[in-house]
Amino acid sequence: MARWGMVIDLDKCTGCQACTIVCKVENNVPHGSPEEQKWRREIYWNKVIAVTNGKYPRVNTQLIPMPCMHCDDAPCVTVCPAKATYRREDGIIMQDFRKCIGCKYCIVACPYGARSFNSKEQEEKEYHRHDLPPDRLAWGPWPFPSRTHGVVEKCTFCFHRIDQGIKEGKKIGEEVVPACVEDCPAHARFFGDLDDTESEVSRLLSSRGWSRLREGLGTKPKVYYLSK
Amino acid sequence: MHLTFTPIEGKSRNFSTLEATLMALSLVGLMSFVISYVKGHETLGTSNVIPWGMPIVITIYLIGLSAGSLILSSLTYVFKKEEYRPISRIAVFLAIVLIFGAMVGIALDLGRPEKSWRLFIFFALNNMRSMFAINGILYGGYFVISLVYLGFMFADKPKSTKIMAVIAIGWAALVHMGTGAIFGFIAARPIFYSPLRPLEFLAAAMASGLALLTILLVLIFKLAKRDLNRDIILSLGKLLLALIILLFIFVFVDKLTHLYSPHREPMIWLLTGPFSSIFWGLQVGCAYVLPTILLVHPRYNKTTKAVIGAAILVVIGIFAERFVLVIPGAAYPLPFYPGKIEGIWGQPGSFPFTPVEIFMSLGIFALMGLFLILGLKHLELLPAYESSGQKPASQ
Amino acid sequence: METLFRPIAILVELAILMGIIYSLFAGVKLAISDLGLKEKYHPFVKWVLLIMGCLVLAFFAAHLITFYPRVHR
Repeated sequence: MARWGMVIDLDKCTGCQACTIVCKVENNVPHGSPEEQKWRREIYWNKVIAVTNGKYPRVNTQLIPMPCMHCDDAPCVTVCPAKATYRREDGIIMQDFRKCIGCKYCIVACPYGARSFNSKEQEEKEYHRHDLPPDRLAWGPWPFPSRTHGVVEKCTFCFHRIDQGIKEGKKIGEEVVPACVEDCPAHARFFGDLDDTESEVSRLLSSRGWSRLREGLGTKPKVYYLSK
Repeated sequence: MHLTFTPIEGKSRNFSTLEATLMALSLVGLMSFVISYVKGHETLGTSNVIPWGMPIVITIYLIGLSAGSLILSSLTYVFKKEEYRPISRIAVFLAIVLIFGAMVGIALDLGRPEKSWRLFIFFALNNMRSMFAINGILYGGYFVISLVYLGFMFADKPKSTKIMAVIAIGWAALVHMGTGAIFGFIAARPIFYSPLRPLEFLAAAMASGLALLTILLVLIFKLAKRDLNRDIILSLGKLLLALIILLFIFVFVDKLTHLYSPHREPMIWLLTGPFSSIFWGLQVGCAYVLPTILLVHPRYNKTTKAVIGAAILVVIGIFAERFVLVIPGAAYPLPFYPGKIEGIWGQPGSFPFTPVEIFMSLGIFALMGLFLILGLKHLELLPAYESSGQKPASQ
Repeated sequence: METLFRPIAILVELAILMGIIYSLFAGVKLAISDLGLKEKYHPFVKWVLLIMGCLVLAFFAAHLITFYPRVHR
């Protein structure tokens, strides 16, 4: 079984936020108003943070895109009381919006701030894709990230693209990748099977120095950052 | 002197006004809930950085009060402290009302409360590794146990009551230690993370529960125009002092541990940052320092007024303690990467007070108050001594 | 006419649901009194069930207003 992971090359990332925007377009995540931005109510599935170290004029700036880390030992999976968040066999931490009761314990537990609470119904105009409301007749997680309000949402590694790609027999990691990987103008993001020795991500991880965020917490995140 | 229990008459003007006010406040609270449900949680003060706001602070506070109240009332039966027997029925009833209020508080804060039935399909639909789910089981069981306990008390079955008292003490301790564990087991938030959290919560529960019990006793007896035994109040005061000291030890050790790396920065922010005034003024001042002075000072510690004053201070202070745990604990920016995180991601969150949230919180308290006065009127909860010729003064 | 359909439908559904809840709670009260609860506790049980009914009503109203389906053209 594959173990999907992401590798982000910090040397190439320019902090352009294209990944943030395209993720919102792909997954029907609203943009939100400046007011919501100020009160941190805006939903971000992928965010890009800037971290500075040092004193002017010798300041080191790191631009770090942060999707959901899809940790192998995810604290959000441990704390979800309704089993709405679970680790799929291929390593993706799925969010089943149908089971989520909106208790927000996972937002508290996530060390990477990857989760956001959705307080708006999808049919409202802030959402981009009005043609894709949740298909309430289907069981289990909906095939496209559709959700009603009152649930917690996060990056899904575009599982809908991966599942569709597997069904069509395409190669995941080369032909089919998450939206943020596909549309990064600097080609700084890579996606693939961490357990496959021939995949691009494995090759990158074996040849460059890498690190992960908040390593000390033991969450085993699957998003690796190649150092500058 | 034979101890019996009677209801209050509840026909006075004061009672009717109180009843009407509580009903009105509860209705306003319910309407606020409807607004928050329909419009979304953006009407509450919560955000993605502080996901748990006033309803959760109030909920954990109420659970503490309930568990504390129950443990202390059970002292009558388990340790045979006869002087607390008069307050035993009210204490258990109060515990039931408080845990009901707490469960309503949680339900109001959920994004989709109708799906919470899943938490009760144990092992199949709920995640037994989650402290939230385990607490759901504990609260449900606690509610049932308290009801059965009160039932045995009303039915005058002393042996069964004693068994229930032992079970109730143990279960109540588990309940509030579980609540503490919800926070204490989260490694991501340095201010929450501590193995002392369950014990700290238990100590806070007992202190605040006892304080509330004392205040309510004095109030009810005053409103019903009955005399209260002075010795009970003084002995409750001594117990309160012991519990405050115990709580202070836990909080002190926890904060001191966190002043050493790696949790040093968040703790310094808590102690000196925007929430420090609430911490030092309300939590340390009202919950620990001032009550201790009142209960220890030779001039005051023999007066009932001092005990009542200390109890009021403790009730306020421990509410502030819950607030200072939840809100700053969540507000502190997560340290994703060493260095200074620029922009909103590096800023501590802020927690605005919104009217919807305020009215919803008041509504929870009003609902509990309503249940309390209805119970006082229709159930035999207040103690009365038959042969001393004490009759409830007609109102 | 179109815009009136949803509020009226919600009110009708609310009425049906409250009818069900009323029957349920009345049944609970009858069962409790049949099982031998003393007469003096009956007013309290009645009050408690009344308040619970109000909570349930508020919740159903909120849920229906939010999630009752809209007619899409």
